[in-house]
Amino acid sequence: MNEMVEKVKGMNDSTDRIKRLKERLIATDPIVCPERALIWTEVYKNNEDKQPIIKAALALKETLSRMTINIFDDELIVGNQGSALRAAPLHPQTNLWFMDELDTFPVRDGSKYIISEDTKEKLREALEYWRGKTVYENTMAIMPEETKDYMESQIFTCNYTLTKGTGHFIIGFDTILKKGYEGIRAEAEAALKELDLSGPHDMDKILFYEAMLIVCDAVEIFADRYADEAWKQAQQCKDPQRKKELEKLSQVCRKVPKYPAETFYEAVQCVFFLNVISQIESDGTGLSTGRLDFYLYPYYKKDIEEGKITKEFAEELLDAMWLKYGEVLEVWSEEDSRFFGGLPVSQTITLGGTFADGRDSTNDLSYMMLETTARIATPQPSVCVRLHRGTPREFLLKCAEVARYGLGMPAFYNDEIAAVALQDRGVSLKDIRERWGVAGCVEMGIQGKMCHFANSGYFSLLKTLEVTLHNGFDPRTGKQVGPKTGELKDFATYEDLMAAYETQLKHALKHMIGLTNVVNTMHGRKLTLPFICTFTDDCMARGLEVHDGGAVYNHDGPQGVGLADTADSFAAIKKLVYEEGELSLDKIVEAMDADFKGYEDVRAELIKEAPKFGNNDDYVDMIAREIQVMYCDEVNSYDNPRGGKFDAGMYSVSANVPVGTFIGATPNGRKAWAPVAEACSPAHGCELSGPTSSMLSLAKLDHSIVANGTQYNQKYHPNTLAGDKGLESLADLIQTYFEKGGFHIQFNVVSKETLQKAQKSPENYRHVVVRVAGYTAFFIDLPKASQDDVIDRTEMSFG
Amino acid sequence: MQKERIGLIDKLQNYCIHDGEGIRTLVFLKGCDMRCPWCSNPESLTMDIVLARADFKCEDCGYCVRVCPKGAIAADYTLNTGLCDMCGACVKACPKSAWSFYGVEMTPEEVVAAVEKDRAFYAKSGGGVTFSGGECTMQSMFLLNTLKLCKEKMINTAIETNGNAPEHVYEALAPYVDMFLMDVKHMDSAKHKEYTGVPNDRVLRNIMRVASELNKPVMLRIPLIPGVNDDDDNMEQTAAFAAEVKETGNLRMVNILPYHSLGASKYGVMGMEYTLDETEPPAQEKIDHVLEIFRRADVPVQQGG
Repeated sequence: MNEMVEKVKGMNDSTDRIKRLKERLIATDPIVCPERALIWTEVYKNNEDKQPIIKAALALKETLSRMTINIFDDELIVGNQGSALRAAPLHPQTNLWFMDELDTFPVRDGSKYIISEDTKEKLREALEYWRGKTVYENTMAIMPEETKDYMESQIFTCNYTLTKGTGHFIIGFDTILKKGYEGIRAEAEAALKELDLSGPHDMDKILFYEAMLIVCDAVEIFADRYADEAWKQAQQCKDPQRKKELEKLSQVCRKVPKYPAETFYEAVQCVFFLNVISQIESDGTGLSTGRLDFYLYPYYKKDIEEGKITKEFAEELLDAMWLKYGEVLEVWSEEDSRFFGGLPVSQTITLGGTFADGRDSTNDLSYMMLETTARIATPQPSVCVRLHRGTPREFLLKCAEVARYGLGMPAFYNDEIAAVALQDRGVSLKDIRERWGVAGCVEMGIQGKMCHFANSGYFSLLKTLEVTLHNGFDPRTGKQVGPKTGELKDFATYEDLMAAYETQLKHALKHMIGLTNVVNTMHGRKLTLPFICTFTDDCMARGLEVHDGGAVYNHDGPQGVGLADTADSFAAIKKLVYEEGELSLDKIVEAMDADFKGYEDVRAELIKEAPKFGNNDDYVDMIAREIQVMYCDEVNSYDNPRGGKFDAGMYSVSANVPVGTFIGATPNGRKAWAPVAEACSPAHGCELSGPTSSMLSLAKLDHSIVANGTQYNQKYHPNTLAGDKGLESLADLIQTYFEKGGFHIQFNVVSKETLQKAQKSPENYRHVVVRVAGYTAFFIDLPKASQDDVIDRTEMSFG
Repeated sequence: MQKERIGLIDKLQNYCIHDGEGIRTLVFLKGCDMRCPWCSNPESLTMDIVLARADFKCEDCGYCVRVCPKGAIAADYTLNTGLCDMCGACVKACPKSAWSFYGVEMTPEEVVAAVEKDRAFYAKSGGGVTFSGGECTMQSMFLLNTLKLCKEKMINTAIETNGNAPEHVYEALAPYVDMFLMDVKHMDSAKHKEYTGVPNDRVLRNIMRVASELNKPVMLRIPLIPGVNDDDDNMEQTAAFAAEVKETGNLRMVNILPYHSLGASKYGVMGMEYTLDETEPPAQEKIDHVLEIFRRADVPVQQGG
């Protein structure tokens, strides 16, 4: 990438093999694979008399036994979710949206997939079976009209959980590395010995453990098939070097995940098997790997000390593993791909951090994995780092070097905030220190111990204001969607208006929580996840599935979107209407309703005469904080059906663009249907005082009550970060932001000109990677509107 | 105007990392006694507040034409400065911020309050404030008062100066300045006068004096302008001068600042002519060659600030 200002110091080049693997990956277009959907459907059809968890386990076993498996040339790490290199399986149990979109997959705007006529025909025929049985249909049958009106208004959207699986588990691979599936099998068999049907919950427990035994079979069969295939290829292989590699690969697949891993190679292959099987079982995004450097280090250290592996080979294995993450895909509906542009999967790896006792745990693998991230330079896996007081400066600088490289990775996270936020939500300090990692985009997850509907929905803070200013009426849908909280003349003071807003917000949120609870319960009934249970504590100990509350921690998080626009709107009203009397509330709403046509003066005044969030101005920053706290406190007060809590989030992914398309003009001077500010970032064009001021504004929010994560993207021109000084300064910026109380920050380091060129001739810019919002994507995979949005975000080029 | 109480500021810019140590806030003071054609801040040259319109921001809505109470803006947006009384109605009205005042009056207290906002970043990085311009010493009393206030607040200070102020000005400022960034634009006094409008005698003398008698750390800033000062002969002489400064023990670094045209668009906005249209930024090989000249003279040197 010509944008990369400087190479990462001392980083080895990738091997020729890795270069070939990468070329092949980049050159391969995504396809839709029907196998998983067809086998799954067949098993459900043939086992209608069985209970959900058994059906799910049998479907997984059949799929892993029968789906096409491949070992491609040059591969050192294996495992595919579909029948080809980049082949996305379909998951019909949630929603049959794709039945109407089969023909448009290859031609739509962004997030395209190739699909064959044969695949379409088979899917159309088989998947009718699910009609009336999906999460979506069963949920909507229950929801009251009032909630549906809110959904139509798009004051909130739960489209993600209504179209996709749960996701957002951080895979407890450390458990499987230690026990192997033979260990899980032994535990299930032992538990079954103790159970009969006389206990009050014995039936469910017996079914649970029987499902666990089926899952053990399924996983072992899958790995065995790879072992067989590797052996077969080895026998036919003429190249002695490759033959040896294939024989070794066969041994590795024969051993893991069935038995505990003993070497670094086995551990890496085991983790990837778990990752790929998770992706086959559930189509939820954010199935994350968590603390890979931390849990793999003992295997690496032992191999190095015993001379069993060289650092170079370990690097090549990591490179190969990263490229395998790059193959994993999910299918998104056209509408959802506007919210989640660029085919995100959010397989997130969290580096750095601490041991359970709080000491720094950074190790050789932390550095090696950062270098692998820079060397491989693909959007997946998504790499994050945990920073804390004891993080070595050297590690921080290495992270800054990789961030400057222009990939949007790593994203930086503040351990101190996570500790406060998660403890407040009932997580033990020991678990936080050892097991907290990013689940998906920016959500705080606990590795192997949490069932996490992190992506529960998006709540439109700005739409709520529009509705408040129209007495609960939505001008777009023409419906009275919220309660009548007052005509404009009733708002004698600014506080009256804020009180009406709060009433609207709480009322709408209650409906959103209701919808979330129903959807998430339906997930448990329709999308049982027996495989995930094998490594999520305490499912195995309690004989309880994750959706039934088997996990130690249970969190659900809906995100507030449009914070900056909402705060800027309130600031404009407060200053110009209630303090200076320059404008009346009636005039502002008139101007909004006309989309400022004929009211250019009003618009100019709203834009220029009122302070904007992101410039370190307390006047508006404190309004932003007030709204953020209002939203988060309300969300955090609800309980979820699995015995856990709701946790507010303040991120938007790329939802800021579509969310805006349902909101008319607003009092911050924003025109109708324009995007709202992404995540916690300042509104477009309002970040006028430089990155330090924006950071200080962002840091004024209360990040400690946002366990589902706040998110802040900054974009820099490559020149700004050049040289050692650029690097040191970037590190200082991050640390200062965190000392001031920020939770997350990530950087796009790419010039506007490059992105504009990429838009014009995408074929020449297939490699350009950008941070969308909580995850990274190839720029060319984004829908046009999201591309524009990335380009428009203020590019910091100072000094 | 009370010169010591009110300063005319072009702008404040946060997160500057190439103008002194650490992360700094730059305060651009208006007014300059030189006229270098490569100047990237043409709006800061004069000591007055200027009203100007950035054509590339304009959406052609015509709103400014309608709101101007004096009828000073023509339909094609040209400003009749004879009619304009600088009331600011157009600045307030323009939805795209195409019309702006260049220059704002501030007191030392206001400047320091703005500078203090980024204190957390200075503490972490060893940064602070750098006064630049224009030429910051043109408003020497205001600068002195502002520097004093910075030191009272324990803020690290630097000034970026063309070196041409009277000697006593540097003497007065020095106790409150932690670092001097000083330009060497040309070693030949006649050439210096040709390009900047003033000879270099006082400049070179002041640099030596700041580093020796006033005993302050100095960074030398060498703009590398193709066809102006980039010949080997001048660079050798500049390097020799830098080596002399180094003898004082106070030379911290020589910054080679390659020519760029990023300020060119501002000339149009200000109604000024940009005369270096044909000039291309120097190639990296050329920059490396110049760096080598300084290295041979055994002075610490780097590309950029």
